[in-house]
Amino acid sequence: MRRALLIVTGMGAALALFFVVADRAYPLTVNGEAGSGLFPLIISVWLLAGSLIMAGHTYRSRELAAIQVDWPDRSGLLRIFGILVACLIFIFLLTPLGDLWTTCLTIFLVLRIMGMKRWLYLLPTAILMGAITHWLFCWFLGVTLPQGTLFD
Amino acid sequence: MNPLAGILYGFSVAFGPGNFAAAVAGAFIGTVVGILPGLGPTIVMALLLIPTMSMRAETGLIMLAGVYFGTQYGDSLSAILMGVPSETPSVIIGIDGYEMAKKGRAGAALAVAAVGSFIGATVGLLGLTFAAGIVSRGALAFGPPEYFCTAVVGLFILVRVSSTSIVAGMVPLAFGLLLTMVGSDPISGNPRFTFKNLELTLGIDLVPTAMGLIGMAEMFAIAASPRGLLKPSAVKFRELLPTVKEWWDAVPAAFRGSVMGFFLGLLPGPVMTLSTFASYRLEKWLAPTEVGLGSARAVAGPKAGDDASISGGLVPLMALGIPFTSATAMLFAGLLLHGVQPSPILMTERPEIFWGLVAAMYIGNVALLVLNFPLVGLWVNVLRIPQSILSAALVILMLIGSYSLRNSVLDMIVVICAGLVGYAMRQVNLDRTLVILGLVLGPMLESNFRRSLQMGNVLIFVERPITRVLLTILLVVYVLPSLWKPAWMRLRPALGPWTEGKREI
Repeated sequence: MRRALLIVTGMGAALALFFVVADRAYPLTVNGEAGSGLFPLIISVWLLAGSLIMAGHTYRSRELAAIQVDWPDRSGLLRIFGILVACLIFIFLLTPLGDLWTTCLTIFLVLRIMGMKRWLYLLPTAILMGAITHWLFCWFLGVTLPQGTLFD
Repeated sequence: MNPLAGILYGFSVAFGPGNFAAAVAGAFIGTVVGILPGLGPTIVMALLLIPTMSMRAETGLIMLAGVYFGTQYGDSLSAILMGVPSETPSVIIGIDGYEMAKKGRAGAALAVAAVGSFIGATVGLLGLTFAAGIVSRGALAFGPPEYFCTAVVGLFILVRVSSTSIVAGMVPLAFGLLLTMVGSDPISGNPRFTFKNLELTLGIDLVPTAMGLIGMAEMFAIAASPRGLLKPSAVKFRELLPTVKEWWDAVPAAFRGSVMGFFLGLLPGPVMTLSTFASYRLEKWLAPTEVGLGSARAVAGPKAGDDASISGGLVPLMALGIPFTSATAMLFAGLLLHGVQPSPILMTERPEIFWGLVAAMYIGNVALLVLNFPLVGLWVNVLRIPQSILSAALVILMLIGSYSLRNSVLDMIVVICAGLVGYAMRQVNLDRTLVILGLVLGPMLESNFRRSLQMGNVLIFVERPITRVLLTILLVVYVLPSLWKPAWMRLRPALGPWTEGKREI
């Protein structure tokens, strides 16, 4: 737990520092009144101080060092990575392929990653779920989704 | 409008075209999703914001409220049938509920939970009907300094009560507030921290962030260690009837739990867990030899407390426009999406929204009771849906749902990034609700802070009587932690490993 918390607090401190630096572009006061940079500066300093205090406390705590974080094993990490890739594929292919095909492909990948192995179920389930999603958003809810530049 | 006239007007709105169906549909959807372990009201309400956008304001909001109540009923089902709670509050309900199920009284436990839920929600809604008016009349005297102090005091109390340490709560809260700085300055409207990216001028939206922090993070957790198929035992309709003794125990316990739950619900914090625990402790004190071994009173009381605390939590949202739980934050987002600004004048300016919503909750509550008995077989089957199908459906709904809000690819990226952050926070036991609340309340805090400074200097926060009272409350909570801490600290070991890494989400 200690190492994990130190990483998390380190990232918090880095983010806060980034905002402190970026905040210099905005005025703290305008005509004697609070400017757009004041509140972000207060929050950034708060996050920075909080992260540093938490990091210090974490570093000294023996209790936290004894707690094990339940991180995923290798296969678990691979599944998480797989879902991330499936999501990124959806984002990148949505415009060129359109929502229907991209949805089917993403669902297929997620089903496969999550343990559905038999193609007999996998393919029809992905197509059916993709079609239902397309109907739900495009026809039932009237949401405008990309139809695919490749098919224009 | 007095509460009686208001609620009658509300019923005329709630029975209007589409509204009644929306309340019932919301309650149904909420129950289905609430049954599934890991999915709470926040994620469902976030997903349903998109379809409700195309509805009239009152219809959409009525549906969201129905979902909120529905999830609360559904979450106790898996705890009772299999001893697998889907949310932290149902851990307590599952203790005696599961014991009853092991004795072959699963049907009676479900019935008692449904009746407890109904009584809790009804008492809570009665409280909301009368309390919201009083609070909002009092809040009419609020100016920017009072609003700022109310939100700050509420958030700081939340940090004090719900986090393992103060600093462990302050960091997620500050992170959530910092995210709201990206986009436009709330006073001047000028772009800020956009780094010349056009999409960032709209800011980081609450809905994709909440979807990621809670929904996507839960997907990653499921992917990390998927479970096998759940095999709940079947419950037949004729097994649902409790015995006279069970009724005799359950109904008074439900009323006791309801009153306690409503008042606890008014406070910021993990109120649903606290109210179920407080009610359980009370029942244990009243019947020490029965509770823990499968007592109907220990199912009905905590369940009623759980549902009543929801209505209590709606009072600050509806009367002040300040949400203190992630689910009410979603309701807040729903109100904003429909152009309704929650504030003390909501009751007078938009009575159809306020009273329609309250009346629809009564209707949804009755609908839940009517639906839950005949459909118990269906609810059990929901638990049998394979995890792979559920995960695929949720991932795609979150991605398309976030995209549809503003036709923005950035929102889909936010879902994924927030998912990774949420998963890391989940693993190290940091409260994700505080990030969401920071994100909701950030613009309001900043604009009221700056408007307060325009009225004077920093001392304005200690010069006005209401702010003085609020800051004194804050001081008491922080200086005298023994007033708050023991209940929660004693609760944790009592709940055992079930509560590890779980929050009311």
